Amino acid sequence: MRIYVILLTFLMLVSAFVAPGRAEITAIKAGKILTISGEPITDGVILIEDGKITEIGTGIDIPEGAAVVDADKKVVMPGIVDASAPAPVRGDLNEQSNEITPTLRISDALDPQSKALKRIVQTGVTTLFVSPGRQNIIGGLGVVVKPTGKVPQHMVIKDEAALTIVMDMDPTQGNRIPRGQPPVNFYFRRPGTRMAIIWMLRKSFFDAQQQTDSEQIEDPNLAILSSVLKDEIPIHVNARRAIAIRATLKVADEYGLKLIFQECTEGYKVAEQLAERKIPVVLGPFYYYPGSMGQYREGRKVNWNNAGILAEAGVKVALSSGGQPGAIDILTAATFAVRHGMDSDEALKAITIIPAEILGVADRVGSLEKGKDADIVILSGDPLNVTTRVEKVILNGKTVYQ
Amino acid sequence: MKKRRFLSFLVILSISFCLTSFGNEPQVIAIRAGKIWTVTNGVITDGIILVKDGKIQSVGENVDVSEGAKVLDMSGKNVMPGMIDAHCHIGLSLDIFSEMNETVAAVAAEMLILDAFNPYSDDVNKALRCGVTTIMLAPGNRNPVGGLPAILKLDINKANDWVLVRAAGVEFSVMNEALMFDREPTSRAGLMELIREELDKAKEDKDDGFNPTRDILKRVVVANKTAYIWARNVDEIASAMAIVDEYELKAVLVAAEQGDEIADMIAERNLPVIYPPLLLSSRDKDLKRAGRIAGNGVKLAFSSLAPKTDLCDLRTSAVLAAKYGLDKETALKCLTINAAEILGVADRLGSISEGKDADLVILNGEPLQLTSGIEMVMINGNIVYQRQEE
Repeated sequence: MRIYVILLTFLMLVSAFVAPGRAEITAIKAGKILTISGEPITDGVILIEDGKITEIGTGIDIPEGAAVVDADKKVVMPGIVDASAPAPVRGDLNEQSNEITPTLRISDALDPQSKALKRIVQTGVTTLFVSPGRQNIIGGLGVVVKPTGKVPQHMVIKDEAALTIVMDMDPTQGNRIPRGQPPVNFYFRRPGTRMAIIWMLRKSFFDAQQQTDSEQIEDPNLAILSSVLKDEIPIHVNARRAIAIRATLKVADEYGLKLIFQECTEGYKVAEQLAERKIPVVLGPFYYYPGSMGQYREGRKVNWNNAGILAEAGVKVALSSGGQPGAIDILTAATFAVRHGMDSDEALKAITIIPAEILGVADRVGSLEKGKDADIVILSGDPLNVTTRVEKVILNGKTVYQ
Repeated sequence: MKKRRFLSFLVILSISFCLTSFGNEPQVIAIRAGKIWTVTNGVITDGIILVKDGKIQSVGENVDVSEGAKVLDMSGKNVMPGMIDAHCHIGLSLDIFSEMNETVAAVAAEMLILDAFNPYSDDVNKALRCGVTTIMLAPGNRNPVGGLPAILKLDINKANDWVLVRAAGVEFSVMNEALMFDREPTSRAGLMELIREELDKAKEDKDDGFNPTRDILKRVVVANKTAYIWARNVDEIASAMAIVDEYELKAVLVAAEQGDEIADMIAERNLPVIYPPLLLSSRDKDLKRAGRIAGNGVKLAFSSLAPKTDLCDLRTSAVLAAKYGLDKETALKCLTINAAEILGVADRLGSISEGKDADLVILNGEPLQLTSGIEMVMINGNIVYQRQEE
């Protein structure tokens, strides 16, 4: 063993000295490769150069001087894509001074040193979608990031990835009606009801529609909304209860909006309508803190068979950790979804390629293919087994967790 | 009895007249010193500094001392230029945080911090005791756009021109401290959006009547005045750099404690850094940061951020930074010429060389020794502090 280690070190040293200008090649020898895009490969090899996958398959010669990652008895899968991840952000996620804040870019608040980021990597996630908080009707622009890089600009792989809209009663939380006292701060304001939430959403899109044809839109808020109306930016709607989902569908039909639903705990009640409109769904979180009161509990109930029912109805389903670090991670969520009726292939796709497609980054991540980013997770066994653990995470060809 | 009293009164009056008439003549002061730390021109041993009209006339080993010059014998003592505190909030009232942050509105660009300054407060004397002769009086970090900082000399009793710059650049903050729960912005993303919005409006250069906020921000966006941006952590510094890149600002990072993590990127953009105070109680990890920032070629200056910490910490910061990896020569520069260059007053301050203001600090030991105490402080050739013997 010692001789082997010494030899390996020597080999690496030699390769470093012999070819200093050449990009380093990493080879992963894997017992089983779950490519997601195609059939699983047994005893295959993945070659990585310059952060990209250059070669994948069986019977590939490992070039001399390549760093070899030995995963002979391990399962290799693409890095997990979390379409609703815990936000690696310092400070408030919500700009509480207004309900309609489309221009807000959450990429401005990213913290590359966040501890949440480290925990996310440990669960095998290599691409995540960070959205603004869930207390504004139109919260702002989300961003797709990879958990690596020294400054936020290096983390981002797609900025302005989606506009976040919240359709449950959450935006009314904290809003008060001034009774017997002067309205001193901005907490005294609309909306206080579901009617008002939907009215405000409808009004902002109406305002944007009025200006869509004009050459230059002065108001930056309306400029963003009008590019949403032109289908340039997708919409992520955070809705749990069926009533909120139906209401959103109504507004979406009026303005021809392209939607993606998040959370959707009562999605199974409207599965057919979602399938008919070809609206993808991001499910999660699968755990809610107990003991909250009244309106806060609204729709916060985990329905495990939700994923299976939606998938069967023909809805594109993605699973996510739902922004709750440590509660239920994304692999466990997939495992439980399979236990409650989801097809296991579907479940694996639901944490890799489907969220990548939903976020519009499927050309770079989501499966193990030639030319895609070398985001690889090495597991101790079958991913859909609760005893399996994440052994190694490779991000852009570099090991980030071991 | 009465007559004698009147006579003595007359005598005193005439003597005092004589004294004042003597004082009006330009007097040459020669300071004989054991070691002169000129900062820009090395160390001169057993040299003489000639001061005339509040300016340094000449400095060197062989300087002719004309007759009639007042000689200050400081042989065996060390002389260094007056220290410059690149960021502090002294001389404000007791409730310091409400005094330096106009938190009712997020954008308080037109606020002059000088209006809140009390030149007769104890803080000023304390600063002089610590060898600080020039300060940048700055607004706080709780507003995205905080106001206009001022550069002051602390010789408030004698000279009229103690205000060097009334409104120097504009103060910004991208820190978490700028977020409030009951005022816009409440989130970091909202904060950045707000700053962008304001700068965009200033850049547009639309004539919309009297608008002081717009006019002030134009100074930064159009007239290339310095923007002082508060940013402590890596993400905050990255946000600041994003704004700097977008609007091509001439900027200075304030309190950029974790700048060492991305020091190469800061150096790339030529952003100077005003470093927060290092304390004896700071962790080793943090004490090493200043040296690493300067090692990457970033121009560094120290600040005390007083009264959050003591003004004495300005020299302590340099000593500690020098102990934990900062080059000794650079550490001394950080206290003097670097700060002067960052604040844009290097033509008058920051080193002991001909033609500069005679702001001098005389110590009984080397400047970068914790044990050496300050004996005398001069501003414009006037003695403003002298240590009393017990």
